Amino acid sequence: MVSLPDHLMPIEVGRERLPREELSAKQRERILPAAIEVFAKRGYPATTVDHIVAATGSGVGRFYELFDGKDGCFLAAYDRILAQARSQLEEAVPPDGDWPQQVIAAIRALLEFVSAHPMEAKLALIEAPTAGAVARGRYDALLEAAAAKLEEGRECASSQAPPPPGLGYAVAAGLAWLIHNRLSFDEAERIEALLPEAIEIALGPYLGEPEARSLAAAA
Amino acid sequence: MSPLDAAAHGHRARIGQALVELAAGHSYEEITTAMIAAAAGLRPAEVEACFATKQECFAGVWQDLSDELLSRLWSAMVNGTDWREGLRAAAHVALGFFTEDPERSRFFLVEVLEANEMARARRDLLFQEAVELVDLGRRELEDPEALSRDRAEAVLGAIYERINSAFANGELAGDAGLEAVRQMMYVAVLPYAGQAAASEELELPAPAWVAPPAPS
Repeated sequence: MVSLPDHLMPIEVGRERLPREELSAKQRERILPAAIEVFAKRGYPATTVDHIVAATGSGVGRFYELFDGKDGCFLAAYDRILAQARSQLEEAVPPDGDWPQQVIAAIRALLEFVSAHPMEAKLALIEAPTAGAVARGRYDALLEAAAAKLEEGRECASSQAPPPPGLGYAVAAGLAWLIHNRLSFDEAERIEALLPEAIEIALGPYLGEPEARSLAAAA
Repeated sequence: MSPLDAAAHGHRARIGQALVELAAGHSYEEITTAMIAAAAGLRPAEVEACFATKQECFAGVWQDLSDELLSRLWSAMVNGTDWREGLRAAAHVALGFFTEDPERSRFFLVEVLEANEMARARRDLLFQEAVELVDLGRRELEDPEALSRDRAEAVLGAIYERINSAFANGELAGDAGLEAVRQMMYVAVLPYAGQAAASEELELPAPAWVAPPAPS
């Protein structure tokens, strides 16, 4: 049976009218998936509010009531994706696991998320870094958060010479770019195959290549 | 080069310089072909003879800068006595490229990529070419197949983000820039030559034959 697209379905408000704020939040949630696809396919610079409105059928006036323009919509989409990914990662990472196991679980969950949601990943990893200062700041904060987790590996570091400062950021950025490149060249199907390499990249600087390789092989 | 080609080449260089200067004071949307022509001392038709649209103009100028950077990097690389020295030289040459003209760096690293999809696609292609500089490190290994090209991509991605972040935070000039290069060398050398060699990179200066970066 043919049905209306999600964004055109009537919002079930029940007998009681929803408070305006709640209604707006629901409408934002309905628009964001389509907006994410538009941003990911067209790229941030080439996307206009008209493109988003056309894809979501929201109406220009209503769009501006819901979002602070194109940038506001982009940032809302970014935050939504991050919340989704974070929830998936938190579920996957054993809270009482040791550092290498936590990192391995996080990388596996991240790659699964990217593979299952390539449009969302494109927006977060390809578009966000060049979507203006605020989006860039949020992307940097994401890398910094990943870097902080990786830097816990210093306590497991096998070598006598401590790694230089900023190593965690470099590793996080390197992993992000590895995924970025697969997405850029439409090789999303290769994302999950990156798992062993990604594990070695993340663990190698702290545990040494041989141990990282052995953990990657076991994963 | 024919006189016609030479003129076009000269026009392109003037357009590039003019566009970088214009972009320092105007947004992508504000800049028009007429403004570019006026700033370059050319007629709009002469700009359009080089670039059909404003988007192509931005992407083309970005491409010219990218070609220049890549050419400088490879010149440095091949002059090294071995992979590590070549890469160290290339890293310092890159630092020089990004510090000698901050307006050009801003255009290259920030402005165009935020506004122009075509330039971003070219950035990704530049990335694929520059990965070779790092991937040559596999020859340092007993078994070059022990690491894949993916490793070089990750290393270059780390370096690229480090450059971006250092540029955004004003940390590319002076001692901070040199420190950033050493840290990038650590990241690059670690997978191919091991921890001891990587740690050495934290202390090594630029090869003597590399021109020092412009003073801050």
